[in-house]
Amino acid sequence: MATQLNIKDDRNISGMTELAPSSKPTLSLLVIAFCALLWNSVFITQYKYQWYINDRESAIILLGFFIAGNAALLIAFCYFLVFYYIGQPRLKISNRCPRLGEKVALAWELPDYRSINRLAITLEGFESMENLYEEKFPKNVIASIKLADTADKRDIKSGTAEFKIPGNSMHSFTAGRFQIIWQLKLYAEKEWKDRRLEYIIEVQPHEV
Amino acid sequence: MTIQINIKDDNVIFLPGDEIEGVVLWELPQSPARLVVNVYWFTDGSVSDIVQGFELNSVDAAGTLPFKFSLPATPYSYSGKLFSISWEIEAYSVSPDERCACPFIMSPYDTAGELRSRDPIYTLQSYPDYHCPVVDF
Repeated sequence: MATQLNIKDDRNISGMTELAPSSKPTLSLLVIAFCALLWNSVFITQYKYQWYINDRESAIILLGFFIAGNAALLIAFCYFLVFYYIGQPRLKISNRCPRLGEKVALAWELPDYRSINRLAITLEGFESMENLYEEKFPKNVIASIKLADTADKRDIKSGTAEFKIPGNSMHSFTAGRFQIIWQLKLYAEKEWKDRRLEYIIEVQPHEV
Repeated sequence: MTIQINIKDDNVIFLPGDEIEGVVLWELPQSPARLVVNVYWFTDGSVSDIVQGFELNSVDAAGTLPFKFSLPATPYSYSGKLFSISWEIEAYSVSPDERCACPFIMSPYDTAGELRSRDPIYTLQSYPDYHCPVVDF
């Protein structure tokens, strides 16, 4: 599939529909928070007991574990804030249900652009299948178009691109365990943790 | 003792929204309790959806029946690595149980993957590798 790189200078993204990422780290954050609380409850109990029996050395060591548990809680909380409130990329699209072969305008805004070294946005269509045990087979990509790939902070901060849904491909489809999915993939290369987000779009068939 | 489906002009490639027209012919040892004609799509894992169809409760042991169905806009016939979507028109009788199915393609694309117009009619001769079997089950 031909690569189209067409980043425009127009920064106005009004009148477009904002997309929500299809996968959110809520479950991971909850699991981390739960484990950290469990960790803390174990070590705080032990700490109190050691302090009570006047074993101050062991108590101080256990205090270190308690601090580590709190640090994990704090990191989970910070990540939650960054993901949902502070650094959430905003992706807007002119039509969230485009037809095959239709031109679509895309715009993005990344509030935490200063910490991002590279931004790549790709349109991807793939087929997906689960077996009877609801295990997913590796997806088979049927179309992949690079829409933006930039290391320029100004373009990372905000930008627009125009692309065309492949006109000779398959529309979005879901039936039981079988799916054709179209999505915009955002990849932000950061100093300490890269960010990968996916935004599903519903590709309609050609007009009859 | 057969059921047979003849599609008009031997057309096997249809555009979404097209009309599929033809005749069902049957010759059975006795009058069937029911005769059913359906147009449907299915995937490899047998997920299927009857798009249109009709059912006759009292028919003669032998006869012909014209049919005309309008195809929907989706899903397109599709052949991928993980699964495929196929279209068929079927006719079957109940008591005696006989069945005939004729696969066809519903797609807006030609063999080169380009959008095609309504003409010309795509016949078996246009697609020599394509077989529309008339099979008794």
